[in-house]
Amino acid sequence: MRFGTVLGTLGLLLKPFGAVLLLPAALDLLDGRPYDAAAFAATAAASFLIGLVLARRRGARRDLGRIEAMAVVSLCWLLVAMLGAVPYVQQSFSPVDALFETMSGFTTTGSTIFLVDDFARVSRGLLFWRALTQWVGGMGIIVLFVAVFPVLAVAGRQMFFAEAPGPVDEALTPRIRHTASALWRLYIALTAAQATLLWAVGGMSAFDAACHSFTTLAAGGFSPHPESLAGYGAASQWICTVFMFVAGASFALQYRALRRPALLVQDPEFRAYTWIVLLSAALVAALNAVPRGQETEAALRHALFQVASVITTTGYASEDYALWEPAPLMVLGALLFIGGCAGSAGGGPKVVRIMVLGKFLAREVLFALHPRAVRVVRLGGRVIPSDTLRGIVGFLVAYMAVFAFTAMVAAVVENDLTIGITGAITTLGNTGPGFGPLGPMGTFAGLSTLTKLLFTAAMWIGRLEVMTVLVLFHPDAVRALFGRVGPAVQVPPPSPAPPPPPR
Amino acid sequence: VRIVVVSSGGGARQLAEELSRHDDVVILHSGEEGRDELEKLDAELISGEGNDADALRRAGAERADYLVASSRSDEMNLLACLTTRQLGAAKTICFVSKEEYARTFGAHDGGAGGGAPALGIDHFVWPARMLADKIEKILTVPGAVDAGRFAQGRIALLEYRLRPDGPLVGRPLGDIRSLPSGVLMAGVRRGEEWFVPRGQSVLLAGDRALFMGRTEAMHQLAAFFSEHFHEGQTHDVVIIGGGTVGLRLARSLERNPKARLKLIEKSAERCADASKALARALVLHGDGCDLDLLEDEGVRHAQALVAVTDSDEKNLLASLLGRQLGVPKVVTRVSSAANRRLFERVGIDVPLSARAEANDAVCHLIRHREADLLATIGEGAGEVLEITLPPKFTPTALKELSLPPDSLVAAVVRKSEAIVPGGATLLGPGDQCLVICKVERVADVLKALLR
Repeated sequence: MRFGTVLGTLGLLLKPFGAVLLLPAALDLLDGRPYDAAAFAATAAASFLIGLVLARRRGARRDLGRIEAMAVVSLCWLLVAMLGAVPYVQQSFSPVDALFETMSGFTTTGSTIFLVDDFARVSRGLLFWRALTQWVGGMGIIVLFVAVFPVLAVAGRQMFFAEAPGPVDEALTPRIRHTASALWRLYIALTAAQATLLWAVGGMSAFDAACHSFTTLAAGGFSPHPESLAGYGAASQWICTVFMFVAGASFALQYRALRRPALLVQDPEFRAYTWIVLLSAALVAALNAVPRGQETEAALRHALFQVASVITTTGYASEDYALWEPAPLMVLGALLFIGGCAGSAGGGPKVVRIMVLGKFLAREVLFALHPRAVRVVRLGGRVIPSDTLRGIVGFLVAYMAVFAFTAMVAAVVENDLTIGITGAITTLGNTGPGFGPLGPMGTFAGLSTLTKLLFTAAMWIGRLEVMTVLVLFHPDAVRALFGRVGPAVQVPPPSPAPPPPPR
Repeated sequence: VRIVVVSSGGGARQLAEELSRHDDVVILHSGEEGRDELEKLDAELISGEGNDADALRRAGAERADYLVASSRSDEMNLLACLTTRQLGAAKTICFVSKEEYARTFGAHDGGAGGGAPALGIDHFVWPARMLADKIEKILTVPGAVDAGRFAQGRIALLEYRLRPDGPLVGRPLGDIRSLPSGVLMAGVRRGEEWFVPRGQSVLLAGDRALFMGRTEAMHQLAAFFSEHFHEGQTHDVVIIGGGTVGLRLARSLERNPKARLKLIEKSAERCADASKALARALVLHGDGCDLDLLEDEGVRHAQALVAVTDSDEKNLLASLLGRQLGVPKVVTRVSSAANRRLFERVGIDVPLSARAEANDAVCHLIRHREADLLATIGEGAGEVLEITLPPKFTPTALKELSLPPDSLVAAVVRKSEAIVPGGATLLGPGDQCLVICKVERVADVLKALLR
């Protein structure tokens, strides 16, 4: 039973995870809220103990196969969300709400069940924890563990790519652990830079600056302020716009570009991403400024901010865009279906996949015209192998299928089309706010339990890019993980000796 | 001169035949194919592999002046050349057909003498590349049936087939004033015959006139002819056959952003390779002789059709179909020398052979080292030579030089300036002369210029 290996590895990951919870505990202790601090500390202890028990299971952690790696990654994100929800429950949120909020945190979605009053009611430790879940989830939980713990080095490679956002297949360095730690160092440096700027230039408090930089670089979107970034000045909004843009671009690319900046210009995905942001922002600014008579600076700032926020799937708001006219709103709606770059903190289907899909469709048109044509799909001069192409198109079909299913069920349960459709895409794409009642100043609190659970699952599936989760439901995977015999295919019994050939 | 030719049948026969007219040729032949043909030649025939040192010794490679490795196998050619270097002082000429080898060893221009000698091999010859380059030059000039560029592109060569209603037909050449200045008519081909025209020569319809001159002036000439042919630049090209030549040609034509290319190839595997190598050209999987396919793909609207499959018969059929559909310019690859004449008979405009181009280059390389062969014209009847006048050359006016008949100094390059000379032009030491002459006059030309 290979599931033992999965549980063993999960234990290995959970053991140190609790340490992250000690930060908000310390903050609450300083604020004089010992009970809240105790809840964090208790969760940390529980995480360590569960990890200890699971890790004791016999299971070689080193020979992790493809299926086990996917199972570990999927279950790890689910378990961590459950554990992380405990402090919320202690501060009188319902378990379903708490799970929703934590999953929304780790998956960097940013959809919230907080009501306006909740922001003042809960402890600073919990608000910090809320931001921290996004920061950890932004670069990836597994990437963090791979970076820190050498024991996962070999198995980590499988899990690294199972977790990676977008069709990433190249590591920065030959050793996966070095790649993971290089990415984390860049991530930490960018976060520190943004926090300093928000504090020094934007005039935020140190706490707000830290929380916002955590959730910006993660493309998360949780804000400790009930009005999101609309509650701060123009300078803070500009700073966040820049860093959201950075968070939506591939970190691996940025790491390489530190040495060779020309790589940014050469990268086809980054170029497309930049153009989409600039053109959509110009369109939104024009559509908004004309009917509303906004000033140029404000129109540009809000347009750039909202476009960056939606395409990178951050989900901040510099104003309540749920109140916009349908035309600019539809521009944002289209961006929900694009998402950030592959290898970024952003969610969604990813720019590169949309580009490839476009080229794939153009090729289909060509084939219709010239049935005998032989043509490869290329991106930036590089030929995309046909199995990669199939994977990308397959992903997009699966993604749209999950979206359609979620949207239909949610729309029926909530009896509201806007909630169903925008809620489904915003949670599956890990963006955060939707339109209508789910808008940036709204909340998911009013939804039914079933819808909340459905959206929680959508966030989980969306963050792990559909396939990592879906494979676990394939009969082969179930048999491989839980079956008693090793080989998935039954060996037929040896047939009786063939009759002697006639003379 | 003693020459060892490493052969494995096929194209080496033509080369050996050509070389054996003047020099002592030993053919080291492996396999049975083409053996009978080789036995007919006035050359010694030895059985053995080119990569076998003993066989090379038997063929006398130690004492030879040249070794020409022209078997079908690149590896055997490379090894034969390397082994010969060990055995003696013979100069080595290596044929390559795989692009990897050609690139690795620096046969960048495909021609003889290209690049620095790699591995101690003196010359690499890459026939496919030579053919592809030649076709490209022909295609890029409207109406021309042959084209070339020399002296870093400052001097150009064009060959046109004269139509009955043309302005140059039926008058003595001396009376024609409409040619741009800086352009010379350097040769005329009429049927099998090739000559350098004089003032009183009269051109006939169907003649192919060869012009040479400064590139700017040649553009005017091209405009003069294209006006006449009602043709624009050739962008719309259909290539039949996606082998080395077809692929190379498509790649170089693709560099022109206006080009619209279609490459038709029969093998699915080659189609896949071609579609990876070509960014814009439309690769079609099908038979170039499939009339339905050609019609569906609108071949009738193409400006040129290039048939470069491995099979002469397919090329001929595809070219005739192209003709039939009304494609104005048809270029055809032909492998066997016998087919070449036949192709011209049935009205193929431009039959070209990679092997023939390469053989001409090799023959020239061996015979006239003092002069660089830049191009052959009229199916090897004439040559374009580049001769640098020696330091002891006493300055002489062009008309004072005792140049043989059917030869012409078409251009002089002096300190990076290209001049189209007249009779009074003074030639001095260090001048690079581009000379056009009949093959049999090469020795006389060299005698006149290098005295």
